[in-house]
Amino acid sequence: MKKILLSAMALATIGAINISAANMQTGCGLGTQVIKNPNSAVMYALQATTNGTSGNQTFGITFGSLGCKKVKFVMNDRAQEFVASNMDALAKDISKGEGESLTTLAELLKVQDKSAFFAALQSNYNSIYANSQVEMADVLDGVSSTI
Amino acid sequence: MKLIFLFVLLSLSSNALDYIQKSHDLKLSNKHYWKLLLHMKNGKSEIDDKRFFLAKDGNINAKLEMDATLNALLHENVFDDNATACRFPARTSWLVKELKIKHLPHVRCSKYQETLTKLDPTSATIVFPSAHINSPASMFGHTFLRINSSYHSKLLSYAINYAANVDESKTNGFLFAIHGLTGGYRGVYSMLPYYEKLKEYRDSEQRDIWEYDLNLTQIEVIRMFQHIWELNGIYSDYYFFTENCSYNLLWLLEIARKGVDLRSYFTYHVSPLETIHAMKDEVLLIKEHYRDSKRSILLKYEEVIDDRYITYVKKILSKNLNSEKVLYDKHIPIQQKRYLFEAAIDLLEYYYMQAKITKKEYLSLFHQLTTARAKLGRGDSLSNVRPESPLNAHRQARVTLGFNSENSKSKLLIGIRPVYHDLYDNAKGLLRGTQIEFLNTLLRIDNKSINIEKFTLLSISSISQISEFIKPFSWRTHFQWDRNYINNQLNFNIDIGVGTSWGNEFGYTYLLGDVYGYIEENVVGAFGVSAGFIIDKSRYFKTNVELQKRWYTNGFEQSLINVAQSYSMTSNTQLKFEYLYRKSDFQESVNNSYRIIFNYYF
Repeated sequence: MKKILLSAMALATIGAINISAANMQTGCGLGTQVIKNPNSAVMYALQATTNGTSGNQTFGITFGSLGCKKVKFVMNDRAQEFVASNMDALAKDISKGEGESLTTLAELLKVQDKSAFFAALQSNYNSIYANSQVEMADVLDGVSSTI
Repeated sequence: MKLIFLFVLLSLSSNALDYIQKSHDLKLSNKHYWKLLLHMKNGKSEIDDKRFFLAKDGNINAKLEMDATLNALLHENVFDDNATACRFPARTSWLVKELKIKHLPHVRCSKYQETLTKLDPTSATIVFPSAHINSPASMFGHTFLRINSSYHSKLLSYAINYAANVDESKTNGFLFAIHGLTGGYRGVYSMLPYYEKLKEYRDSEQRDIWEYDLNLTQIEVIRMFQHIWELNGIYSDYYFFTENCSYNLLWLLEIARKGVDLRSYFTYHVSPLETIHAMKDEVLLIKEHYRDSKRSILLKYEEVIDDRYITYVKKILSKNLNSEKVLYDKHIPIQQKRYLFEAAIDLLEYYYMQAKITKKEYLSLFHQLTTARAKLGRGDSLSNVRPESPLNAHRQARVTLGFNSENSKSKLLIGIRPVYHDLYDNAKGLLRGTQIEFLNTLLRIDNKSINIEKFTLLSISSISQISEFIKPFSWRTHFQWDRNYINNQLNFNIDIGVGTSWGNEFGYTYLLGDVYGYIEENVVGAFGVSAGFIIDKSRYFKTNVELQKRWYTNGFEQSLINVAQSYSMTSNTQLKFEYLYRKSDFQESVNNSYRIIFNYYF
């Protein structure tokens, strides 16, 4: 079974960020979850004991925005990295007005009044996640405008 | 100038020799901590990658390896991250301290520093993803380490994971098992943000996550990280049963804190949950936390969404119901609407990760549903009720003592089973309906003869209940010698069964169709239909009933009934009453057996 790890983490090597890789964009938008290949039930049943993965065992930690489209407002790297890899979880939390990913974002942005922040983002959901093609930069720009 | 250079060079060399001599005088390479750093067991390192060693036979000679390390540290010829001091910070720190080394060549470990800064270690947690349905092997679970930072949010912590490097496109189930058992794969450590591991285990594999905070101090965690850095890219042969994911974390904890001894708890196999028991016994655990898997969350939504509206969720996803219609329906209470949309979003993600819908469909529905939910305000969160802790489950090995009374003849029963759990054992702390057993042996003793009552090489069951959102199938298989054949003699047979199951808080029922292959003088096949139910609401009492009808290829028919009532006085003890009924048209008489069994788990 091939686990298609579309997260930007798998693309990082220690230190260097290879911006020329054209498919980098897939790590910055929605729908980049790990997809299970359903074709191998036996593999699936056995796989749990080794926790094998598709070979992208990296020790690397990314620094920076992983080759995603640039944000307009000044934004710390950690926040960009987090949003890029948690687009769906964040969208869900913002739409609910609460959640762990949202709380994490608030911490990264050093937000003081969290409940006002959550409420404001929820009512402005449509300007932050304006369509299904949004990427990290759009989301963070939207969040910045809302605060 | 040349003279000064020569002098400095000479003094450095003599410095190195001094320290090496000092290490010999102190018998430093004999010290337990040095051997831990080299992963030495019985004089040989468990690390198979030659790049971990600086001396040619460093993996079998701790003294040579120390000499080589000291030499390399004092005679660096590169001064960046490839310098010995940068590649081996744990060894360097320890040697500097033990030998009171005054000066080392100046090196710039920029990647190491950057990583250490980003990780910002403050404390550590052991993370245990538990079993996922339809994969009983996953009952053994998995463990990885999480290095907590000064952020409140644990999502920003980094996870250290040891796993086998498997190219799944190049293998199949059979090869996978063989390689995994015989060290055919290489295990490596990886470092990923915790949110990535949650996406993998909690969301994609739908495993509930248990976290155990460790009482390691910040210094101990940093010491552990220094050694983790030494293992960057270094492989060891991976063995399913012994040198596996959970075992290799034990080295890290023993290196973090002197005196901690975890590996000696294990002899023939290492299992993730058992390593957590060992950590508990070594007084390392502080607090337990729990995270629902995506599946558990969906089951919680099933409970809070009203029966009147529950079908709307799937109808919205299959576009048989307009989400706008639900959103603006004045008759649906607002909290129910919130739950409906939240469940729909979670179920949508679930379908996507199971590859049941395309990315395009996913993106479109995801946008539609989140937009709708955002219009409904904040609302109530799901309850954070958690299931029974896996630490309260029975231990993995079991011994059995009992009496069997069959047609007025009594026999003593003695049994042993190394691993792990069957459907009659108390399942608290474990996944309902899941069974996995290796080498389950039951002997009967009567009139001074010992016979095998039952011997199971392997049995696996996954009886998974279907519900509104999740509809798994149930299955079971076994390879065993038992006395269920029509002649009541011991026979080897293989079974494969599939079916379905339903359940609620009180228990579950199941319906299975099985195919059996009996090895007698000839091979005899059979088709069976089983219906059963299990009542397990109580933490102490469990009732098992199974009725089966079999039709054999040699023309005979058979009815089998198994009934059991058990009481678990403690997590690791159980008293069980069993009744077994066997009737076939092969023999005139009916077989009735009554048993009283005592099980002890350890």
